[in-house]
Amino acid sequence: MSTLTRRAVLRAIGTAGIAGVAATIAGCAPTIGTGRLPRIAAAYDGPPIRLRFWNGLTGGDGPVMRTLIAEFTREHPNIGIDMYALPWTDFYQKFPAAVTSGLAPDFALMHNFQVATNAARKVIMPVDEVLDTVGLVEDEYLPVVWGSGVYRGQRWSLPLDMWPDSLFYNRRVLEQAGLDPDAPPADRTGYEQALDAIASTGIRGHWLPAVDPQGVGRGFDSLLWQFGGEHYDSAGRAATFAGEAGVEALAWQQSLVHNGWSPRSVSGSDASIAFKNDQNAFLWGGPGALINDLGSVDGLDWDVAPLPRIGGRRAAFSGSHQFVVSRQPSFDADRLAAVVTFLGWILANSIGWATAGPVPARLPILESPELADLPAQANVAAGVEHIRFYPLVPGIAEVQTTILYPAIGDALLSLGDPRSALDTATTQASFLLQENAEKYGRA
Amino acid sequence: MTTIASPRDRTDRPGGPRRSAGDMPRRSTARSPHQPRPWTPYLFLAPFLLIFGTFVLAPAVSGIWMSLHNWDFFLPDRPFVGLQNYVDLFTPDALVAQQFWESMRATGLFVLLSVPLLMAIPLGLALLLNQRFRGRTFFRAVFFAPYVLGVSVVGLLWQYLLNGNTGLVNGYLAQLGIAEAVPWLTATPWVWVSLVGVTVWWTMGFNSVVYLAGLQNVDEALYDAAKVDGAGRWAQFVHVTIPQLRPVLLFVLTMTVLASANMFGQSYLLTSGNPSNETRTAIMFIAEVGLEQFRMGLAAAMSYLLALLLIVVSALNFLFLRQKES
Repeated sequence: MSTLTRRAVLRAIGTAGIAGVAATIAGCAPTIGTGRLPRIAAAYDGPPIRLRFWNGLTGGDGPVMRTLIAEFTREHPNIGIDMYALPWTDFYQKFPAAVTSGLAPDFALMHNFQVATNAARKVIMPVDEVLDTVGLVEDEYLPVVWGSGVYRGQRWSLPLDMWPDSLFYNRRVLEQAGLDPDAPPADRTGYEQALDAIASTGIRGHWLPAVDPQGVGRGFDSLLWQFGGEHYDSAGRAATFAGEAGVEALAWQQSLVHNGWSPRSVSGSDASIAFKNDQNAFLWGGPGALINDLGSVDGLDWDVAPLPRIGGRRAAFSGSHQFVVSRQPSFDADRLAAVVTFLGWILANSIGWATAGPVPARLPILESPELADLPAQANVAAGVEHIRFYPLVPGIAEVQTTILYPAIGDALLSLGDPRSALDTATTQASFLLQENAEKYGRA
Repeated sequence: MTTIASPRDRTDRPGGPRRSAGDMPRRSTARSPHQPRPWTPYLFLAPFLLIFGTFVLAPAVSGIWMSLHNWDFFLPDRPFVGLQNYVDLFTPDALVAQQFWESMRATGLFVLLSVPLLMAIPLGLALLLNQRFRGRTFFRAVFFAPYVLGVSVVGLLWQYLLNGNTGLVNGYLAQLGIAEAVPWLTATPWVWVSLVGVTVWWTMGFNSVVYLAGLQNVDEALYDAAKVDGAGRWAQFVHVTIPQLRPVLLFVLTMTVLASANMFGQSYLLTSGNPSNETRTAIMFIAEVGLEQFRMGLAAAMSYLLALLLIVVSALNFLFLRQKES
């Protein structure tokens, strides 16, 4: 044939295209190694080595971590650490992708409620073998924190800190309302009376975010636990947040708006701006985000205390940053030894991390005199015995942030019936829980 | 030897590829442009085809493949589910179907609200800017300026302006005596006013420039002829400008519909889908399902439905405006 027909060329391109796609599909199957952690010596003292460490510390916490790393490298000149901080949402997308393509960092930091998900995805390694080398002892942690890294009978993460939601209060606003700024309200009656007193000075005392998904949902979480409820059944297959406790919790949140203690349609940033301008008395939030943020505002007179008890018992939502070891196609004993050396060092020196805001997970450090030198952190630490974590169910963060939080936000925006809002969310959450159980159950 | 074809080459054109042995050395350098090698055009197309194949064709085909699986990139097991992902989207009581069609509704509503405005306002603007007046170039630049901004800048800017409790707009409204804060970003119908308003402000400059180019191509003689026939300004607009602009209108309409249907950044940054996911557009939902929850098979299926719908809409655009032409 002397000329190529159009048809022949198109056919050739088509064939090539399909072949290419087939190759792509075959090629992009996960290449996750099934490697086991090699046996390692107690500490690394070999030739210089550089480790890669990923995390989501893009705020004021990033520099604190970098300082600690620099300090570590001064003590261990043969171990250098390159830290990559990317926003948490990007981190949770890119970390599994990096592991799958064999480009994983040596270790990473992630939230406690993402550990089970990533364990089920097989992108992190069980770390039981290195526990002793790192120096982790059960007695030194709260049971909820100790248990938070254990999934399917194996430990996957090493807790660094805790960041319980706490009551941040504007001392000046309290004083102007005739309240004692050294004794913030600790129970429901006291809290509501304080809000009334503040309202009489023309200020809405508790700007309740209805738009910022994190701010909304976490307040509800704490309240749900305070009223004696649980989010999910023990197997993580069904949502139970629509019970009596959930309805009471949500109704109380709505009452803040009904009683004029909070404006309507508040976003997370509104509440914070109002607080910084003495137009808001109370913020419920985590120490990691707020201590340094509020501390950087000139002339703001604020303090922090554990969350008040609104329901029948004390409880506060908390998260925890936890170290994980990434899965590698094959493990290098030297690199792993260096990782373990760093983890052991930082968990022993986690008091340095407390300046970032969160309080150390290790109780002896939490009770050390050095922490008392950080007054805000010390006040936060006073409430840690009541902290609660999300259950260790793969995909749980997704259910919280895509189903429960928007439902709470909607209920606070529309001020509609709390029970029906939660019932709808239950149906939706159960769908996703079921799907997750199947998806991760196979893995 | 030159590359210009010699007269002799031309003379043996009817002979086609069969040439005498004596021609052999010349063939490679002095070939007639009228008789390229059979693969020459494809060679010219090759760079584009390579990029097109890699970044459009292959992903598109692998998307179909994905949509037939319960596909999570990071799980080793990706069972084949046939058309189940599509079936799920048409199962009325399935959660994902409700959410998907809710997001399609948001997209549709946004297209319906924004496209007429984005067709009409830029046209009026282009007519104004096509007049002769002092500072014309300045105004052309001013109206085009917002289009230069990225969606993140636009989103952040209007977030500050429209915030219900601390925004500048409500601040000024309060000074004008409107005490009740308008929930620009948190309640219907205000969210749609905000999203459509911001989008019109942002992109009308582009459509205006396209219209302006079209207007400058309209033959003045046609207006003169219309005037001779006694046409007023309105009649001139209806009977000369609009018909002359028809190809431009078709282009602007198609592009605007597609751009509006792909709206993502504005609602992602301004309303985050609030209230009640009322402003969560299809693209936003697909991104959430595919790239945050990693349910890629389902996301691929949704993408195909959306693409199919947009193809149909675009085809209707063409048919509609073509028929009028003939």
